[in-house]
Amino acid sequence: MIRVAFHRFAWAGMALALAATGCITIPSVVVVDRKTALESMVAGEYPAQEAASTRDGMSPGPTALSRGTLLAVGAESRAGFDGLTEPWTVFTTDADVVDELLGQRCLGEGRDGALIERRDTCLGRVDSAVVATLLQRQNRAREQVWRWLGQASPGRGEAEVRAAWRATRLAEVPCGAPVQAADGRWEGKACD
Amino acid sequence: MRLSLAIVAILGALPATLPLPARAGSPASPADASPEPGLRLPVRITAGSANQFLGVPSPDGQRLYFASDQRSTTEIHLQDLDGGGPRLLFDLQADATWPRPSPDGRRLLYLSFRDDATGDACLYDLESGDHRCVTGPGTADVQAMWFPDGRFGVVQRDSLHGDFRLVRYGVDGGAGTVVVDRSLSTPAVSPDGSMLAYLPLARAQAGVGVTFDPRTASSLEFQRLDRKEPARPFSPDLPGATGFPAFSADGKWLYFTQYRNDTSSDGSIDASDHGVVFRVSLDADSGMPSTGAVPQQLTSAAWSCQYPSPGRDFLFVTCSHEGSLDVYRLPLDGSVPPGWGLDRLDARLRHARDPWERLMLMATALRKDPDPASRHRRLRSLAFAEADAGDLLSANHHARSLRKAARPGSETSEADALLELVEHRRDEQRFLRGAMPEARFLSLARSRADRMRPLAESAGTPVPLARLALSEILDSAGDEAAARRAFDTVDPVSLEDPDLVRLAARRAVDLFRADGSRGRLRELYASLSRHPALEAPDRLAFAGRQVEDLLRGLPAARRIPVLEEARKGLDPGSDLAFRLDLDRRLQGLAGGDPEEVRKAVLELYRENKDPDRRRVLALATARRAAAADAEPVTYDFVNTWASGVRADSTDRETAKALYRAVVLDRAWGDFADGNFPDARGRFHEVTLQTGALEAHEGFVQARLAEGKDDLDTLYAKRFQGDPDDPTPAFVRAFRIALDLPVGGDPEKALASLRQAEEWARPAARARPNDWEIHLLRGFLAHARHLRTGDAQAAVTASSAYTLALDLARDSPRARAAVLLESGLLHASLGNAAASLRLLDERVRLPFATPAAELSLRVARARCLFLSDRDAEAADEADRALALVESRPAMAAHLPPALDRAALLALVAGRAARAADLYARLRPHVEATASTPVGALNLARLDLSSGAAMLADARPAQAIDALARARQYFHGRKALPPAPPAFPGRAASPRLFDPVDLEILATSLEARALQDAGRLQDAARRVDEEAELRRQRLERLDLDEDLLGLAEAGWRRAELAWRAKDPDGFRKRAAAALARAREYGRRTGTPFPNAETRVLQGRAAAILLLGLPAQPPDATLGRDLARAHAFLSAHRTPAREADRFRLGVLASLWQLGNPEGIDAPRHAPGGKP
Repeated sequence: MIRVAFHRFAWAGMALALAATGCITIPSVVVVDRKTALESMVAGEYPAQEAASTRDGMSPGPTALSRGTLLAVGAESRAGFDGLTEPWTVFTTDADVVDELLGQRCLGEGRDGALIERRDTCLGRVDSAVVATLLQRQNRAREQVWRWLGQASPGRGEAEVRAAWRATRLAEVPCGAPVQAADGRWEGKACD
Repeated sequence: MRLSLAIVAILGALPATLPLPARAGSPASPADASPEPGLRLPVRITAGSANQFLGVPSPDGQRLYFASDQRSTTEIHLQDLDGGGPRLLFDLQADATWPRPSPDGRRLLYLSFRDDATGDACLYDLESGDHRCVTGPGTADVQAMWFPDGRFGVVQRDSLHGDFRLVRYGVDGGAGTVVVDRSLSTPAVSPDGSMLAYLPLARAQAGVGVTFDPRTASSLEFQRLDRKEPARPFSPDLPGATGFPAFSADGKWLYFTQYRNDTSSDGSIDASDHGVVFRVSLDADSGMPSTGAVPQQLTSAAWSCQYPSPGRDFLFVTCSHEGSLDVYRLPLDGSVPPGWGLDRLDARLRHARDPWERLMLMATALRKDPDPASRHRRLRSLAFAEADAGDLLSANHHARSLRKAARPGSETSEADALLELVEHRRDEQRFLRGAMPEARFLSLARSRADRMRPLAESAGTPVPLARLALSEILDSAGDEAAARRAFDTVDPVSLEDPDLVRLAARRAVDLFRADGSRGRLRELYASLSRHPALEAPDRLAFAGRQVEDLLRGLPAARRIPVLEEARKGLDPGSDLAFRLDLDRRLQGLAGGDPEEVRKAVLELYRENKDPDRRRVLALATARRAAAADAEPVTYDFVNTWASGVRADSTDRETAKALYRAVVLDRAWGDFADGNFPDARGRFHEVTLQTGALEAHEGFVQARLAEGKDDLDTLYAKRFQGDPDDPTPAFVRAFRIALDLPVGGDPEKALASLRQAEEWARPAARARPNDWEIHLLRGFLAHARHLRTGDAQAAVTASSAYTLALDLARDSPRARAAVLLESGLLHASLGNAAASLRLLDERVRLPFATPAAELSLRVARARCLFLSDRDAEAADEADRALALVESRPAMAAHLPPALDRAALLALVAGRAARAADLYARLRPHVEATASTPVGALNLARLDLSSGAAMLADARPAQAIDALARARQYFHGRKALPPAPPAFPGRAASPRLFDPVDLEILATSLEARALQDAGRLQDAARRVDEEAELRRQRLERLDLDEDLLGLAEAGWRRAELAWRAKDPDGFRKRAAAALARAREYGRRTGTPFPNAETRVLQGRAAAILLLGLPAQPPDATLGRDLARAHAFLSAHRTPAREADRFRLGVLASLWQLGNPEGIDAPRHAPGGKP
């Protein structure tokens, strides 16, 4: 048993042994990491192929890629296209930003009527500080509206008012936006 | 074909068959631009992963000095402004900052923190490289500047809580003279030396120094130096705080930074906030800013810029933009071309999308407008726009200006209402950021609402702004009913002022989207889409909002009926009808025939000649068609629109950019498909329409791919009338770069490189914001580095690639090239982490050629290997190998691919796979073994394949290979010289000599023999290894050989044990322990592995295997305990198993030894 232990201990992993051995036999004061040492000692030398390979990876100009190949990996092939074709707007309101973030799956319509951040499904980059402020402002505004609607509809409970408001709201939520079902699951709003 | 013909009809030419004509284009061609069609974006000069800041040009304008924290400490770098890369100016091994070149360009003044943690002012002689510090530990020096007479000034203080003062020194040293004896910051002197400008500082608390708690003054101060006069303040008529004054080289302007908002949310407006750079003209007589001079905004607030440093030709600023802090340059007169008159500014404003650009344009127009009434209108619009953009301090400032100029009555009420609204929004910001409790916010809002109510009526005249503001304040305060009532008192349709209409519309969106009153909202949008006070873009935008609202969230089947219903009864000529007609037609893209859609939309395009409508139609169609993947429709409409945009239109920039994006996309597609004539034709069209260098590059490659090498003639002819155009020189440089040989005559290659670098220079000067230039420059410098090993070339290449990457954010083709090349560069420099960041991003994009993919996978595998990500490295090497094996044309790459895959498999613990790959590699290596390097490769193959077989438990096969390797290295004086990486490049010295490799081979062979049960042979090999080490230890006295001897000694002890030789075991274990301890003492390494290994082995032999303890074992128990205590106090994952074993053995030792752990162990007897 002890022999086995010794064996494992002393000879564990040929690669590590190789590297460890190689690392300590540098004849001059040159410090190299053990991986570089291992490579220098035992890897074959193919300078012509390596030079050709490096050169093959280099081009003084852009890479000639077709739209199809770029789209296949989810890249927009036309430089700046989205920004250039974005509609001109008179102003951008919180509601516009919420729609955009819902479309990007970065926000979702919660089952209680509040907006909820959805980091796990978010497509694209968002400024989390901006989103946090937006959510705070929007959800606060929603609470205020529900309160007002409740006051304007005596006899209807808060939950009823909220549910009615949410039904109206869901009708105008962008297609595909995350919407939370009553059981807590999230689904994309279906429009087809 | 049908679409091609449509394009022909539109453009009047067949792209694929176009000859290269002279440069003259049609009047509609966007190439006929006025000299400055667009805003001048800051040009990034520095690049790197770290921060680059405090850029100052040399007096001749040729070079830039700047500080960078690239190596963690702040150091001063120098960069040639003519396209060179940065270089460290000097290495102090300490912080050095605040570079200031002397007026004669011979010295550099800087602050050094090497010998004085509070800073010394030092001079660096740029010719001799000598350093001399003028101040010492007696003062804390924080800023420095030159006077025009060759003396220099230092802002310093004597004690920790002392005040700052400005002291003047001569370059030859000596005591300084106090110039300004008050706390100040960032002094600047006029070029004639007569005037000093600075930012005064004061103590915020009496007992605390300005260093720790300063209060900056609200204005700059000007102090005459040529006569005794009290300092005079200067406050620009701008919101926020002012800092960093700097005089222009001609003394006519003062540049400064203005901090307009508390962007850092720290409660104060200071240099930690976003800066905007301004300049103001100086009066020739007084040297002060001219009376009534309005500061000119030079940078957009979207860029946070500071430290203005006006040079001879350019203004240099440090900007934080898109996540990087770098030095940029701008024309001295800023981002807005000075030639733009009010018409041009207004036209640009109509389409500007970026709110910060809008604000800069509005401020510029306000400054330029001579008409008081018009200026007042502009000021009002600016204040509204600032409030809308959240630039609330500026809005407040301009609202106050309005208030001052307002006539009593409704004008005053409106200005007051605007101020209240702006202040309410600032309160809301504070509340939402957590800087104000809700109760306080609500209380302030209610008080504000109370003040607003009287303003809503001014002497019987309604003040709509006050009513809208009241609605907003009540809404924020939660009084929804009152907010709606207030809003209902305003009829947006009857408003005549466009700013108010927009504000009312915005309020309506906030209210009606919140409570779901879509009907009211649509009614309003419909009204606003025909509102006479609004301009066409606004009206169309409201029409667009109407359509968007109609369709949002609607099932696809209901969209057309809804649009048709909304269209009923509308004036066919109205903007809303146009917009509904357009969207009705575009619905066909969802599942319909794109060609039918194209025809229908083209018909609408022809019917509508108005440029605003055409823009909306083209952009909406292009966008929707792209979303529906109807690419021909996108292409067609972009072409159609771009070719119809007038040369002087403000749409021209967008049209050009869109045309370029879409047509180049198609051209590269043609090129990738091998359809070179069509590709060439499209590239050519883009060169004519936009002058894009990318299009020239595509054209050149397509033409060459067609087998036609007439480019020199074509370009000479095309540009013969324009000798100053740098494009032909760029194309020439590009062609040289394309043709650079991998092998061949190295001198010739270097000569070509020099030539290409020379050709590229004019374009680099003329078009610094084009990524094509930086990619080409990076490529050339990279190629130079590969061929010469020149480290500065690598720095230049890296810097150029970074700039290219920054500028090519939106271009995947450019990014694909830059990411790969930059990744390869860093890989070749051993910067594995930096390389992986780039290559990991690159690998997500496709490859144009298998060769390019191979280069990435080879480099990435090596970087993963060097980063200890062994399994991923092996996988990547396997992918490289699979790629090579799938392409017969890449057969030449098979040996290195096999070699690499085998090595990385071995390292990843996949021994069987490694052995198999080495076996496949053998015939390739044997075929070249007749050359010295080939023979070395064969010996290495024996060595590594032997190791693989040994690890794969095939010792018998390993022994033969390892013996061959050992024999190859034995007695050899030197290894054959390493072949250079590139022809002509000096060969790198070898890191190892034959003895190193012989030791390795011998050691492995010994292990193989031991595993094969040939213990005597194994012992012989271990002795040989030890002898090789002993000899080398005598020769070189390397610590590593001591360690090697300890390890070999222990292996020898183990063999003695297996040979049932307990005395031999004791003797050799003792020798190994002595070596290990000697190594530990010499290197200051307590309990090296070799020592703990021997301790454990000896203890196990005594405790578990019955080896009798002897006097030399007397201290073993204590040694075990000490080693265990040490490893417990210095725990590392790598030695955790060691620690555990030592603990167990120490405990066993103590249990079997009741007299104490230090007592000699009395073994129970038994035999080994």
